[in-house]
Amino acid sequence: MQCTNAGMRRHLLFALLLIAACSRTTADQASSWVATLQFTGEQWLAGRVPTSFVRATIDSADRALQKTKAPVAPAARAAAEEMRQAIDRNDRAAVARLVKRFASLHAST
Amino acid sequence: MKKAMTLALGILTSVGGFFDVGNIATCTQAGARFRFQLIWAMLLATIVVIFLIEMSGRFAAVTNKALPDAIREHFGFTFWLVPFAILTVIHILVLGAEIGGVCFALHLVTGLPLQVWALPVAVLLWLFLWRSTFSAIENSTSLLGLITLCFVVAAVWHRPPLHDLLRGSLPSLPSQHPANYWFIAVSIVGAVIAPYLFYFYSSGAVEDEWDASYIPVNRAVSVIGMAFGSVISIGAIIVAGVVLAPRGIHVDDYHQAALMLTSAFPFWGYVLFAVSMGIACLGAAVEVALSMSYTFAQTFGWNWGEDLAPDEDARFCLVYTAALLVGSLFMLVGMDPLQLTMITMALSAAALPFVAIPMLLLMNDRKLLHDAANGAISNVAAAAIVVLTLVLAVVSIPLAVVGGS
Amino acid sequence: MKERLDVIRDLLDRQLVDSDETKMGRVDGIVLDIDGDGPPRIDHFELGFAVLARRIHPRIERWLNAIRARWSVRRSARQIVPWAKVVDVTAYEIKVDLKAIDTPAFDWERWLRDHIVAKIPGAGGE
Repeated sequence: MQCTNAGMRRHLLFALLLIAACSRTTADQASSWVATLQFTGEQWLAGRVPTSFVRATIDSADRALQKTKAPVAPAARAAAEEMRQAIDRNDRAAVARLVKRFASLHAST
Repeated sequence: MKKAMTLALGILTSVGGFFDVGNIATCTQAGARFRFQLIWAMLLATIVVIFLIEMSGRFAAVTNKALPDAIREHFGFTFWLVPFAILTVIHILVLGAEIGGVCFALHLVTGLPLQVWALPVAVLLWLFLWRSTFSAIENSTSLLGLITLCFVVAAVWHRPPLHDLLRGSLPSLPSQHPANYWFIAVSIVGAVIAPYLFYFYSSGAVEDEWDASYIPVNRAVSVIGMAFGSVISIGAIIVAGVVLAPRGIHVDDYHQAALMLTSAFPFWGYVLFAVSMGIACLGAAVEVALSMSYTFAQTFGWNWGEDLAPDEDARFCLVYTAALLVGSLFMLVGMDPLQLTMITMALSAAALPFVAIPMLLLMNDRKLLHDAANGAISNVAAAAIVVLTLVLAVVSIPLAVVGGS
Repeated sequence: MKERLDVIRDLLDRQLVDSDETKMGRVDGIVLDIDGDGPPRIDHFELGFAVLARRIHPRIERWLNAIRARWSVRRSARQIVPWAKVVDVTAYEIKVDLKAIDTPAFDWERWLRDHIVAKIPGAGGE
């Protein structure tokens, strides 16, 4: 009896770890990442977060958006890549435009 | 006078032990997804942990034994082996998550990737443990930990509607995403009622040489300390609820949480978040590593104590050294720190009955505790806690599978 | 010492403490001496991971012994503390008339102190 319980627990545990590791993403999460990119851009323009943070956030966003099958994902990833280049150039005008683009993408989700 | 100092320090320490990577992860997720709706889960968890901490401290004060010590003696090694094994696994996972928290904080400040920081953080923690005494560790991490009050300040600054806060303080059903809602609720409880917390507390009481006269102090420390920590955690829920939720930003990654304080503190918000997270996780990591050493040493009857020099308790030191090495592996291999934290919280919640029930049984042993054994109120609480932990154990893993993101 | 001792409750799994008040392990096993028709007497205590392993399952003890034979610094799998060395049995611990550092209980502790701890600065107290 004890062995069965322990075995079942182990299987559940493994399943949990596997699924958590695979990290199912949904359209919900895509929308959240678009909003994140918008907010991050806004805060960068206001001088409240460093450039390294924006780059790291774009990396995380890109990875997450890649896993989702949401329709907004490709456009969002493209905009994120543009924003990465814009901040590298310190192009505030471009970032401001991209912030607006993220806003409209978010509104469409 | 000494008792007053103990009270003050005990409160600070409890604050430090309470607010750690688990709380940061679960509270920011709760606020971002469900605004103030999950404040009740934090309140419930706080009440439970107050009882557990109070019992743990009272036990150590009267018997002069810490929990692992007493449980092995009272129930025998064969019985103790199961909670001991579970506790060890949880310790390592939590340590990995806390180290992840410190690494992330350093990543925020320096821009360097997390993996770079895994070993340096482990070494720093090790140095801290190798050279310090128990009180030095407790005092420094608790004083520095006061920086986490910035969450409370930010929460107040945002002026959240009181009506909504009060509504969130009572349990309610979610209007959408029920699986995720209950998953986060369970995770909040798992994060607050960390098994290592009340085990560590009993060892700490023995290190500080408490006796029966400390029972009132212990009661005050448990209530005020845990309440304080809870207020800070609720502050985190509120700030996430006000800043992230309206924008539709969820916390699936710590970077999203890092934006939280930039509204309330325009120039320092980013840094404050990083420093708060770093210090909170550092303090917790030290406690978890020590807790593991205490548990091993007491189980096998070795010499133990942070106040002893390493050349008096080499095996004690070996345990935390090994723990830190293993704990740093998670970040070293590039595991996502938030994911590690959430898995750990779910497992922690599932493990609670195994680690809490032995203690609750001991609290009724009049031969051990004489007059200080559990009275009616404590036993009613204990019974309720047993039921709660059993429910959590059953639902936490399935919820993590179904409701986790 | 009390006149009557409950072998399981008062002796097994109890903390052993040496003449310098140093903790030297726990009573992991108790060996009785059965001599003819008289009642069994406590002959000695046993300490060690092997003893604990045996309480769980004998196979684990065999596996542990195999590892110990190759890697351990322990002189023997089981450490013996004769009953004659017991000075007192209190509610907290069992005091024995030995020095822990001289016994096999401290083999690992001694090895660690000599080979590793001594090599790292800051190991002594201030």
